[in-house]
Formats: sequence, C-alpha cells, structure tokens
Amino acid sequence: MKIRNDVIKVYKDVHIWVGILSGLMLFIAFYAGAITMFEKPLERWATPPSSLAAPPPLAGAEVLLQAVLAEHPQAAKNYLIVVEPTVDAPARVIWREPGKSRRQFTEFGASFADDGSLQVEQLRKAPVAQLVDTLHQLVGLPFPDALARPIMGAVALLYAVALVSGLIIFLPTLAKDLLAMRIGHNIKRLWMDVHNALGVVSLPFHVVMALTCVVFAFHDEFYDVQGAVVYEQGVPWQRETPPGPPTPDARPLPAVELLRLAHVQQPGFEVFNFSFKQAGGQLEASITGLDTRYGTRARTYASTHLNPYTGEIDPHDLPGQMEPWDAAVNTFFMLHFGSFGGNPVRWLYLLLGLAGALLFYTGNLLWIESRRRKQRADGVPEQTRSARVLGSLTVGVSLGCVVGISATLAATKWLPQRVDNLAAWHEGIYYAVFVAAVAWAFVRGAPRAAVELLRLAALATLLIPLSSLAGVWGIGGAWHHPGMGFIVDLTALAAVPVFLAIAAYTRRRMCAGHTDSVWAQPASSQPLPPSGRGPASACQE
Amino acid sequence: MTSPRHRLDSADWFGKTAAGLVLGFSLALAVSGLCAWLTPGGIAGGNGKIQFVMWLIAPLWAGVLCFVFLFRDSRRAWCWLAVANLLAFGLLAGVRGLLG
Amino acid sequence: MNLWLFTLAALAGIAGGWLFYLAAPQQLWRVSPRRPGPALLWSGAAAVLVSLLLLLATMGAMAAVATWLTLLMLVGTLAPFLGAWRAHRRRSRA
Repeated sequence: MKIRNDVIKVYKDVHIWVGILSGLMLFIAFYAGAITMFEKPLERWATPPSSLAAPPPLAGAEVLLQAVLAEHPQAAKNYLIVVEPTVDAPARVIWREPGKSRRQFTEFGASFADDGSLQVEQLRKAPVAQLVDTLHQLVGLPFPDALARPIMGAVALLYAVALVSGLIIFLPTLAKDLLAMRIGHNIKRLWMDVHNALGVVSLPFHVVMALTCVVFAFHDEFYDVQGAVVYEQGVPWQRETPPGPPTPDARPLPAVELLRLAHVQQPGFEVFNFSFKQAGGQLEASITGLDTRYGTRARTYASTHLNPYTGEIDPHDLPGQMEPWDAAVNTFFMLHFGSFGGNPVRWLYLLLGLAGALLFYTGNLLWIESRRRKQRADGVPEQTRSARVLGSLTVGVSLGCVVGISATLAATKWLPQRVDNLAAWHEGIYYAVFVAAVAWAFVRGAPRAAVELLRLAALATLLIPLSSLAGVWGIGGAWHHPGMGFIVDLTALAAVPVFLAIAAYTRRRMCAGHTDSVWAQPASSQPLPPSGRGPASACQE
Repeated sequence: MTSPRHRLDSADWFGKTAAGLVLGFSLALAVSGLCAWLTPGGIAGGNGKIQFVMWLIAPLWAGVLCFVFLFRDSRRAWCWLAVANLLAFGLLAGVRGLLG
Repeated sequence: MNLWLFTLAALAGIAGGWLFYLAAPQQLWRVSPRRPGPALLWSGAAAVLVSLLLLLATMGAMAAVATWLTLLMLVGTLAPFLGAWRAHRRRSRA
C-alpha cells in the first residue's frame, strides 16, 4: 500500500511522541491488567480462612436467615443466599451494611456453631487483588480516582492515536514486514520486528482496549453533555419496577426451590447466589451466576431480576437473551474484560495482555536504539543524556511495577496476623518497592539496574509460592486453601525462570553487546557507582 | 486537503491536536446525537440504546484525533472541523425540531 | 459450553493460524528454497473456518467470534517468535 512519504514522516513523529508519553503507564496497565484477568482466583488465594463453621445445606438457608434477621434486623436491607460457598464468600447467608461511600460496604457471614448458636463474622476478603486491579484501572498512578481517571482517559486517547499512527507507518511495508523476525547484526531492525509482531496482528485487541478505556474514563462526562445537548430533558433513563407479590399473602420461595426453577428456565446458567432486598414490606430479588457460552458485562458474572415469589427469571439482562442495543453494549464490556469462554479465554487474554506490555516496553527500547550514537574511529561516544534517562526510566518503571506487584503479593499471607489496615499495607509495599526501583535504575544506570531488578523480580515472585508452602506447614499465620488455589502459586513459580532468563540475556548484552549503547556496561569515564564497586564488576561475577 | 506541491510536516502539531481534542469531541457529540435520533427506536430507544449512543463518542472522538494530523496546518484543521461541527449540530437541531 | 468442542475448536484454530504463518513469505520455521504454494493458505483457511464453526456450535455468536479472533491474534503474535527461535537454533547448530 502506498502512502506519501511526508504523511509517513508526520505519523512517525506522532507515534514516537504519544508512545513516549503514554508507554510506561500503558505497561503498568497491561501488566497489572493481565494479572487482573484472574482477580477472583487471586482473591480466593489471598483471603485468610474463615472462622465460621461449615455452612448448612442450601435447604437450611431459610432457618439460618431467620436466625440472622432475629439478631441483626438491618441485614434485611441487603442479603445473599450463597449456592456454592467459596473461600471469598464462605457463608450460606451473607449480608451487606453500607459503608462510607455508595459502592463501599462491609460484608458479614453467618453460620451455626456446633452447639446450634448463631455465628457471625465480618468477612475478610483480601484487598490485594483489588490493589492490582486499581493499578490496572488507574495506569499505576498513586493519585485519587478523581485525578487519576481523567489522566487514564488521556492515556487511552494517546494509545488510540499510537495504534492508528503505528498502523499507518507499517502499512507501506506490510507485505515485506508482516510476521517477519530478522535476527542479524542490526539490532534496531530486530527490535522493530519484535515491536511489529507484538502490535500488528493483535491490533483489534488493542483498538478495543483503547476505545473501551476512553469510555471507562469519561462515561459520566459523556452522559452529562449528551443529557444537555442530545436529549430533550436529560438522559431519559427508564426505571424498572420489580414485580410485587402475586397475592398479598404470598410467601417467598425457599432458595432450593428458586434454584430448581432457575435450572428449568435457564439451563446452562450456573447460579452463584440469590440476593434480596426487603423494602416496604416487599421482597426484591436478583439472581447472579454465569453461563460461559456468553460474554458478560461484569467481569465474572451475570445478574438479573428474579421474582422471589414465583421464581420467574427476567431474562432480558442475561447475555444471549438481550435486546440488540443491550447486546452490543454487553459485547463492548466483554471484549475489554475477556469475560467470555471462561478460564481458557482468560489465559488467552492474559498472554495478549503480557504481549501488550512488551509492546510498550519494546517501543521505548526502539526510541533509545534509534538515538544511539554509533562507535567511530576515535572511540566510543557517550550516549545522549535523554537516551540514558529514558533507559533508566523504562527499566525502573516497568520492572518496578513487576517487582512491586510480586512483593505485595508475597506479603499477602504474612500481613493479616500482624497489621490491621491490610489495604494500606499492600499499597505501601507496592509503591515503596516501585519508587525504590525507579531510584535504583537512575543510580545504577539502565543496564545494571535491569539485571539486578530482574533478579529481584525472580526472588520476589519466588516468595509467592513459598508463602503458600509456609501455609501448608502452618508457619507464621500463613495459610493454604485446598482446591485450585495452587495454580496461583504454580503461575508465580513458572515466572521465576522467565525473569532469570531475561536477566541473563540482558547481562549478556551489557557485557558482550555493542559498547556504543546505553545497554553496555557504563564506560570507565563515568563516575563510580555509590556502591564503590568498579564499573566492570557486574560482568565479573 | 493538500495540494500536490505541499508537503505535510509536524510543525503545527499542537494546534492540530487541540483542534482534534476540542472540535473532535464536539463533532463526536453531535454525530452521536444524530445516531440517537435517527437509528431504530428513536430517541426513546431504552436504556441499552442510551448506553450504546454514549459509547459511540469514543470511536468518533478518537477517530478525529487520529486523522487530524492530515490537515495541512492547524488553521485548516480548526476551520474544516468547525464547518463539520456546524453541519452536524445544524442537522441535530433540525432533527430535534422535526422529531422532538 | 461443551469443553470437548471448545478444545477441538482451539486446536483447529491453532493449526489454522500456524498454517497461515507457514504460508507467509517471512516465515522462519521451515527451510524452503521456494515460496510455499497456495495449498498451505487454503488448508489454513479451512482449519480456521472449522474452528469458527465449532465455536459457533458451542457458544453464543458474539462470544464465539470473539474467542476465535482472540485465539488467532495470539497464534499470529507468537508464531514469528517460535519461527525465529527455530531459525536461531538452526543457525547456531550450522
């Protein structure tokens, strides 16, 4: 495809600048986002064991509920009957009490002790998975949501521009460059091929991510202006009124019966829980679960209204049974969240997300590589200050994010016995490691810091399965849940040799690659690092 | 937009980007409004359609922002996008008058 | 979702994506002196079509197409790296 040279030149400039501005934040968003694909399993892995007795059978849910309502009448406003209790929802009956803000609430679970008395526990859902998700949503920025979210939106717009400009640059050489990977002496060519391999084939995935993120950042503002400009009197939201009891003296059906009727009406829909609200003498209910044949708008479930008196499910909020407009919107969400096809697709999304993170990383490497001052007859030139700064920043920010997440995950099983404010501690650990890593990258220079931080990443990631192992032996208050949680540990374990292999590769390049590069070990003309070791020491280990 | 002799350059990037951000957004808003009124279901198309129409802003806005660099300079970018805005908002006002 | 159908569909999709890679002039997996013929391309197309049909049989249409594209994107992203890895090994052995 022919595109005029001057157009290519302009879009090259555009691509370089939007890439530099947004690349590192996008790296964090994608790395944390890839992990967030398994937020639920991670949350289960990270949640300490409940002290409640084993839940009564589903048929006994109503007895338990009556006992709860007798002692805690406020529970009637918002409670769940859980069909399959899990580590993060360890009770048959759970209720929610409102917290400070609209979306915050405290959850309590109830069970019967062996002597038949009512047991109540405030549920201790681990906050660490939420931290990784928040890093993902706010591109790693430690600011309040109100500030970080518009920045994320701006990054998403830059990302969209980067995608289109990158495609425009690539199009003229598509026939020659698509799927190419030219290993040779031209290291810039190779990084370019890697960057293209990561970005071109998965372009639709990236376009979806960029556009959905623009909406996730600005939807309130979009509705506000549309309410003022497009619609007659604000956005005409339609409110649904739930059906009342069929007769005044009708009684809600027991959960066992609701479950049976749900299976009859929606075969293939696995029910997680029923949630209820008592308001004005009337009971409202909804049913939450998943049918992996369809994508969902929430990340891990679909939810719809249920008539608690008849068991009738209102299907129009269920994926696969929606009106066309709703189905389209549902598709946008599902394409961002990878919430279709169950865990197999989650793994695919995780890999595509990691590939995306590498796309941004290689983008920065290319920037540095194309500004490399080549060796001439009169010796090795000093690399530009900007190349060295971006090298340190790239290494520090991306590896700082990697090490920070591993470190805060590794702390998960030790913290609950020792500190109270878990969320603050997890956040503190992440940002402390992150900031230290960035500082380290500037102190040590990109190449040495890269090797050291990669080894640190391997160590911190190895500590994750070790904390579970400590749990198996009951050391120091750590725990290990039976079931599939070990996959979290296995995944972390598998990442360890990967980090070590990249560290070994980086070290080879530092010691044996071009000397006229920011990736070479610092030349002797540079001041000694504060550690006091000679500049060549990194290669003499 | 560009005559054959003229060569595009990146000098005017700030003005073009600003035009894409400001007028690109208002254009996206107006076009999303036209879709709200003119597509099946009309303006009272229900909650699903309301959300869909909101989603439309993202691709439209990002699309304008991506291609705004093809204008020869920022003055042309602002002028042409202003014309497109006038047209789109004019149509929207007309449609609202007719159907509202 | 039928896990057997899903697995078959995934295998067909991986095979199809891989055949597309082998059909590309830039592929590095095989050493071939001449350009690969259209047979690879056609068999690749057949495999990805089978994959899509199998997915449509076991999932909703949107989810099936999305799963299919996700799989193909991932195979297309990873294939050049696998090819380069093999070419690299070939070269270091020679």
